[in-house]
Amino acid sequence: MLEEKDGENGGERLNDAEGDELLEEENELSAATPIGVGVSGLYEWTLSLPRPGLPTPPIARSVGKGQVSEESETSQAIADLDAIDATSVAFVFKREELRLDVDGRYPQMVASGTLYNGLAVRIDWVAKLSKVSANKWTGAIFYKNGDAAALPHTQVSVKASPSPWAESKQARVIFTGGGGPARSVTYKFKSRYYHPVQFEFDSVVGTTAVTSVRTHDHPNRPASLASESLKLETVYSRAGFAVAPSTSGPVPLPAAGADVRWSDAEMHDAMQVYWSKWANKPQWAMWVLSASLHESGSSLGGIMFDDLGPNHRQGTAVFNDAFIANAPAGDANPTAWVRRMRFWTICHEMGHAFNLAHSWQKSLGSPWIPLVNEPEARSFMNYPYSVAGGQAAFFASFAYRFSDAELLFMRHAPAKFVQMGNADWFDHHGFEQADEGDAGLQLTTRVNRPRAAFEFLEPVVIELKLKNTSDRTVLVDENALSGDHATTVIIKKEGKPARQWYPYARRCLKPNPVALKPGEALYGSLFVSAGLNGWDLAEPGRYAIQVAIQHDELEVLSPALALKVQPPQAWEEQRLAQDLFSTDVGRVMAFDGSKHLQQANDTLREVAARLPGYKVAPHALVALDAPDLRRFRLLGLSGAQPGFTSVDASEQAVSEMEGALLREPTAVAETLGHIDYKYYVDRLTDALAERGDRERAANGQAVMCKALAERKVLPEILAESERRRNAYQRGHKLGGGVASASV
Amino acid sequence: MPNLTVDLREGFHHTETVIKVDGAEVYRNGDLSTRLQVGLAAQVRVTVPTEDVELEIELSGGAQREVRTLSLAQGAFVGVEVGESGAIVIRQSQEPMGYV
Repeated sequence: MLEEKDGENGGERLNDAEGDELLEEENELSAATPIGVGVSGLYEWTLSLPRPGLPTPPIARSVGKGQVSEESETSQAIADLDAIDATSVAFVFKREELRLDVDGRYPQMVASGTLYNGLAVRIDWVAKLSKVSANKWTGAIFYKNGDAAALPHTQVSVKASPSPWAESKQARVIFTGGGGPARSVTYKFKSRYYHPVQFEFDSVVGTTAVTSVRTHDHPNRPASLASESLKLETVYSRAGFAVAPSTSGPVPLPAAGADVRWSDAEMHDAMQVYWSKWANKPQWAMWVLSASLHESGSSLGGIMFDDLGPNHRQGTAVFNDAFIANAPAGDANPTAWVRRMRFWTICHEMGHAFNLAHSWQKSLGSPWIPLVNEPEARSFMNYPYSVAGGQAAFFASFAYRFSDAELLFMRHAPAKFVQMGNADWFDHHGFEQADEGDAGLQLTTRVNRPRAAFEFLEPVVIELKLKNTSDRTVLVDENALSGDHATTVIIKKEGKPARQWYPYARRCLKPNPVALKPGEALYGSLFVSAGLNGWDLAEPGRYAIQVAIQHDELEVLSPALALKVQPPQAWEEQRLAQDLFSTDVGRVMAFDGSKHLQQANDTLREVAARLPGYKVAPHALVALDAPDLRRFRLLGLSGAQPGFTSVDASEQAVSEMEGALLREPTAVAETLGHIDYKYYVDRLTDALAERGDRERAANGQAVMCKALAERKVLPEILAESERRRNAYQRGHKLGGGVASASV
Repeated sequence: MPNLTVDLREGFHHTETVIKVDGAEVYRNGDLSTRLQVGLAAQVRVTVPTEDVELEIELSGGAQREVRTLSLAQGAFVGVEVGESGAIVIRQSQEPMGYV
């Protein structure tokens, strides 16, 4: 794994002169590079983050053109820092892939790559390459998908270092053009295949799957076609995939229903039952069923049937007794013809699972890049009988391959376009590129109520639990669950595309490692109702929420949390919704109050007044009263002298918040969430104690403790509350902040 | 009596489609779309009185129409496609058309 010493976007930042110099140097070296060892395949670069306790490498400055003179170094340094805006700091890519496709079987003379910043920012790029010299290519980037601003470059120069040993192979890519500084990344070889994929071949009882063909069995073939026993997995490995074939056993005939013919729904059901890899998520895996006939009859020889449900393209079928079992009259070798046709059909249907269209349909719909139809292509994706001269002409020049455009797509298109079960980013499943690995950690999300149902206006607070499920102590960042850079939240409403939740603010926190012993957990809460996208959970309906935490170079994923937002019960709710679901109100609630956003405060006050028995009311009161528990500083920018003014704590706010949190503690704990409820009660009781009202403070803790005990909160939390109550009663000072639930 | 099979193939996208044989409506679908993974939208089988029939394809409420006189002796299998320009293309075949 190659470590970069510094660099913002995962590599060295070069000025124009340095970039030109590097390119010239590469040209001189490449003349002496030995040839003969294939370099195509998948390469990878990862950023090794510093361990806790070690100094963080400085962020490399965006160096402008030319050298920085000593005299102006200070001012230049300041100017350079100014040049690093929030966007560039955010684009610190932690992992990059390079797919180099310049030799081997059917080279496309293309380089492509994917840049990852955990899961939040990502871009795919593709460049067409021309050979410059041995093991060196250059070309223009003709395709980008994702945040193009994160990779402004327009040209690549690729220098590969071949070696018989995989661990010694590497490729260096210099990105130039686009108006930004050149960047250089050196990737280490990972695999000669671009993606892994699993195929499970199952047959209905009484049917035999044709998973191989002897290419010379039928006399009608290209003269140059090699003689071999060609397997299905070989077809796809030559397309660039590391194939793992399997079978789970015969599929019983009754699964097809009484007529022993298969409908799409029956096959989809069978896939869920008999496919050993079945999962409701995108994965590089598909199920291939061999059966006798489809319910539509003998005119259907095979089908990619999986366009049902949320995750398409995971299942395909071939019907051995359909028209593909009938060799043309007078054929030289009918048996071989039929076997070849069945083999071809399976490859064809599997190609659809990779999201390949028929050869004559390439320009339809919204192709990933502009495509032309290929009605005469000698490809698995064309109908043999549709070309000029019919099937005889087709097979006379068919080399058991996909077309170049199809290989370009399969190897280099963004993985989400190709991968089975995938669709748009998190359409029923997100994190298709999550590298879960084995972090020894388990992340769960919950809402601490019997049914995950929320009233129409009720804000949604989810609680997170990160548990050490291994048998060793694991260091995790104390702020891993804070919703900052290490956390990704995806919210998916049923029937709508998934959206990533972006909080109104992200903090840059110094990593603070805490040790989780086996079985111990870290807890946190997130107010996910509103963020930079607006109110993601405003509409009634069913939702799924999934969270990922970045831990070292792995992602820890939670299962999807299903919840429901109820429809409004009264007209008043609908009327208030128009004002409640605003950006300002979202901010006021997210930041626990504001003394400036008065319109938002007015809305919250109206909500609390008009809907006192609704679950939104405590949220509104907390946001209104929290700023007034203590002296609040307001920054005034008008007038001759900008400065702070202080607003004293308000007894009215304290009393109001006391009522909001303690009058019906059980119900309020449920809607605020246990963690946030305790946090607000602690702030209230601290404020009371500071004002000298120790009895009220202690009583507040007692009420909370009783409610949380009834809700079966951890004993450690109850014990902490008891300690706080005792401290109030004795007039002792407490340590700041909310007690961590990690021990 | 002979059978005529009409395959409605490529180019249908939420298309109102009507098939008439010898002036009689034998098929109507107000929202027909090609299933792209097989290149077929619908298959219509009709028993006809004679081997010579008049086949009429009408799309989008008459916006496109194609009428063809067919002799089933030359093929009882007909494929209908809608080209990119919207034109209706009719092909006749002796053999049933296959889809994968």
